[in-house]
This record gives sequence, structure tokens and C-alpha cells, in this order.
Amino acid sequence: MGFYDDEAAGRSQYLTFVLAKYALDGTFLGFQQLASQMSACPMTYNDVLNMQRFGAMTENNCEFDLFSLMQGPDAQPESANVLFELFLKDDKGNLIDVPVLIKNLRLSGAAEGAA
Amino acid sequence: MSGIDEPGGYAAKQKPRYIRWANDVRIKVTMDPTTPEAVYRPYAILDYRAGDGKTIDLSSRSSASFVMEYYSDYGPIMTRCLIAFICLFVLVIILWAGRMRNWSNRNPKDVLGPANYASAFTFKAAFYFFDTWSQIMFWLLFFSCATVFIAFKL
Repeated sequence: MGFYDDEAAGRSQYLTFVLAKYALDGTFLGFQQLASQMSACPMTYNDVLNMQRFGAMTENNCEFDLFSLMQGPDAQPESANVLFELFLKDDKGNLIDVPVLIKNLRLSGAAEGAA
Repeated sequence: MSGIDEPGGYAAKQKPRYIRWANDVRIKVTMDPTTPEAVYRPYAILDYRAGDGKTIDLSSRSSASFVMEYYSDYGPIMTRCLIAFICLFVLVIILWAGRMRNWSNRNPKDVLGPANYASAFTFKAAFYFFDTWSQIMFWLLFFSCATVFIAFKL
């Protein structure tokens, strides 16, 4: 999978991640470019740009209010109760699925860590 | 993610009995050293936490992090650097021995005297060793940094 530096030649210094969104009942809600949807921490426009910039390591840390998740659906954060599927968009516009490792998932008493 | 486990609970907009959230989200992108301007397939690592709704109140907070990591496998380059380091270290020893031999020829023991010779020899040995080391190893650092910069940063 190749990524390049100049738009005319299909190059870009930014990686584009795309999220497929699903409701809890499996209804497909559409595609969205990854910005701050997967982060519980608020992110500025520059944070999002830096995150997408190739080679720039970014880290956003915060403490967030758990009580907001206890509210009814109308008062919950926008990305609560939405299932995401993450893709990387390559220079040809193809969506490359991104594997997910859940570090502390337990299946029927098995050890932690399952993909 | 909120956990409502009564039938029709979401439709009825009930409050959740428990909640689960992604405490740590980490997306790793690894560069492919064999192909210019290419990366391996990225992957995401998630760490979830969960809490009982009965224990969550207005003051309940949790830490969270979102990390985007770009990682390069420097293994092959570091192996080449190690080989170069060993070769250059041998070169340093040879040059140092040559410089010490020249110094000894220019400053014979009987001219300096036995007491002065030992201290002068020790000082020069250390001086020439570190001087030769710094001059030779500078180029190793220069070219290894240049290689990493050209291969991974440009």
C-alpha cells in the first residue's frame, strides 16, 4: 500500500482513516472520515490534522465525565452507542480494513487479548 | 457504550445498568522499509473499562487516551550500524596504535625520563584514543542519522 507526497501523483502527507458507523441494531449509518470520534477526549482541529499527518506521533489524554454515559440517549455523547469499523483509505481510494486488538477482552474465561 | 439489558430498553430510552468505554485507543502505523513511501496495514489496539451504573455519580471520572503511533522498524539499519561500529572500532584501535607509535618515536623514554614518560604516555594514550574515537565515530553518527532521515523522514 503506497502513500505519496504530491496530490497530482497520488501523494499525500496525510493518512486518511474512514469510519463505517453502525447503530446497535446493525443499521448502517454511513461513512465518516476519522476525526475525534474514537477519542473520549476533546480534540481541536489542529489535533486532528496532526493525528493524520504521516510520521507525527500524537497523544491526547484527559479525564472525562462518566456520568454523561449514564444519561438517556439524547444527552449522551454523539459517538456513544455507535459501533465503528475502521478503514484506511489508500491512494487509489480503496478502503483497507484496519484490524482491531482488544487487549482486555475475555471470551468464556479465556486469557485476555483477542483480535 | 451503555449497557441496557431490558427488552426494548433502548427504544424506551431507559438509563443503562452498566457502562463500558474505550479507556485507551491506540492506532499503530508501521512503515515498510522494503518499499519507498509505503506502510504496512495499520492496526488499532483498544483497552476497555466498564463500570456498574449504581456506582457512577456526578463526580465519577475516568482517564482516557487516544494515541496515533508511527513506528519504523530500524532493525536492518541498526544491524548495519553495529557492523559499521565494529569495523570502525577496529580502525580506531589501529589508528590509535599508529599515533602512539609515532608519539613514542618522537618522544623516546630516555629523553623524557622514566617518571615523566609514564605520565606523558598515559595522557597521550587517553588523548589520542578519545580524539581518534570522536573523529571516526562522528562519521558513523552522521551517516546513520542521514540514512534514517532519508529512508523514513523525507
